[in-house]
Amino acid sequence: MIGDMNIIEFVFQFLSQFDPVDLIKGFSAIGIGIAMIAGVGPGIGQGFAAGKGAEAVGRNPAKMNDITMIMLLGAAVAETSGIFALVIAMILLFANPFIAAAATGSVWVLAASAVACGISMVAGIGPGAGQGYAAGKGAEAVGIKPENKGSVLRIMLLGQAVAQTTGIYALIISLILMYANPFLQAGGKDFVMAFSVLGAGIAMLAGIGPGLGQGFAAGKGAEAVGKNPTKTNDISMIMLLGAAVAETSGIFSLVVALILLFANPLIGLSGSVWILSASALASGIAMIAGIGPGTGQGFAAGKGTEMVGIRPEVKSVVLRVMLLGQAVAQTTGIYALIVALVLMYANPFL
Amino acid sequence: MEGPKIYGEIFGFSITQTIVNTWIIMAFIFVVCYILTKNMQKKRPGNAQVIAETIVTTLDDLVGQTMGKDKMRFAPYMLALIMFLAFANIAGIIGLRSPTADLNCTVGLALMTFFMTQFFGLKSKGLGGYLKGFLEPMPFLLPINIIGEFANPVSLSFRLFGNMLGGGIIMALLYSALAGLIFFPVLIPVPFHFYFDIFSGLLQSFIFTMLSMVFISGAMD
Repeated sequence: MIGDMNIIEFVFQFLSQFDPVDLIKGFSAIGIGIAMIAGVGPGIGQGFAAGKGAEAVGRNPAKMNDITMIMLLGAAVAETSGIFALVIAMILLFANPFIAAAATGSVWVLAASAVACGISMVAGIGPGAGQGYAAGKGAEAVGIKPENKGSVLRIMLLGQAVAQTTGIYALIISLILMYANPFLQAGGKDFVMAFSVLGAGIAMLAGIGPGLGQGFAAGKGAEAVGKNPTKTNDISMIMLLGAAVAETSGIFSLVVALILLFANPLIGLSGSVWILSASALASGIAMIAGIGPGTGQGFAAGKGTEMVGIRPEVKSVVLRVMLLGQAVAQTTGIYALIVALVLMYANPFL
Repeated sequence: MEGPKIYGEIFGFSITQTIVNTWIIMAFIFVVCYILTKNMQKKRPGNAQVIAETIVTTLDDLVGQTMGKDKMRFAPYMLALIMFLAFANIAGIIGLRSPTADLNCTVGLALMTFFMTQFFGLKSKGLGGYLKGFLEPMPFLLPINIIGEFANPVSLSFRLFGNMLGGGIIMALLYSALAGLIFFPVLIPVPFHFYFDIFSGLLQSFIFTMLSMVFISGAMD
């Protein structure tokens, strides 16, 4: 307690003294800084790729050109999430759509949207690290059997493209918040809208999981195809299947984020603004749980892919157990989704 | 670095810096191709012809390895694509604003790849096979497969756009910082140009072309 206000009222009063455009600029700066945290992913992933490349060249120095090409190619794809975050940061820095909308929109919604854009892009950690792992495994596979370079490259790029999807979801949510923001009108429930927007951005963080897991699967796919290029179809089928299941947590979060943005059940309700706002925020926070199932299911996909590469004749058994295990791994993600939906549609506190 | 300047309008379309720079690059490539392929001979090729042949055979090998020997008819488009992208991305060295630092350009190129993927996938698998492909490997994956198809051109275009725009902004910031320090920037920008314009530009053009090849050939199998 500060004086006779609680901490929230104090913060609100503190922020209210600033010019609205300055507030938006300040929160945009926060969003920009947070967005660049996405660089963790590509950093780790490309570092792993570089290490694997060095190892592969050490084992097979005659094939340096092939190995380097695959490594750089995979690393450049792993860069994408960092570039997405940089693009969002650049837009917020130099062509900020929220400042332009400050005259007509609610300051709190715009400020929260700026921060949420940044938070959403942190999802890029997953794809960045995962795709880098795939690049490393691709370089390793080409070092071992350079004659299979074409097949390895195809599966690696395919798997990496799949791993990129949650990063794209995050980018889309950021762009929606910037250019198609549904909450721009002022007045009324602007705190609920502001916290909904933050919840939507935070929900996209779940994309870290599928990014990591699918990247792992892509790496295992590249490795398997390097050893056994004639079985590319079986290998890629298991890889894509497992990766698609690993995608589920990313889809759940995208659904929650889209509900919070475009079909928000909490805005129309009457009740304490604080409870409504916090519930919206909490729906997003709950979805972060998706990081776990995404990573774990991706690991399962990778190991399944590896096994099918070694023994393609056991494909159906491997597939069955993999899917069963992945379904079990999904449970905590489902719990999180249920809690988010309860907070939104059947909130016991209101 | 601001957005591309608009120079004028024709029939309702604005002529932007991107379009003008693209014309300049097209003219340059045309001149290069003309010089390289003048006076071609079978027995004693001159240097220019050897260069041209090296470029074409390298790319043919790449297409053959990545897409398969049965898809060599895509090689001319892929060569045109990689040549345009290579020169467009490097344009920062001579002070032109890269056309690929404009989302319109990269989305256009990515859409070409997208439509080629869908069209040739449809043509080689037939309507039934093409639609069934979205239900592979399991029918409940239909929405994920559809989203994945659209995610490809988005990531292709944004990757190229982000790299080129980011590089351009960093170079602009560097030059404005140096202009405050010394009379005109000498030597210091060189390694930055090498990394952001040459290395990043060539790598990204290679990636864009390779990914296009992988997507198109993947849709046909």
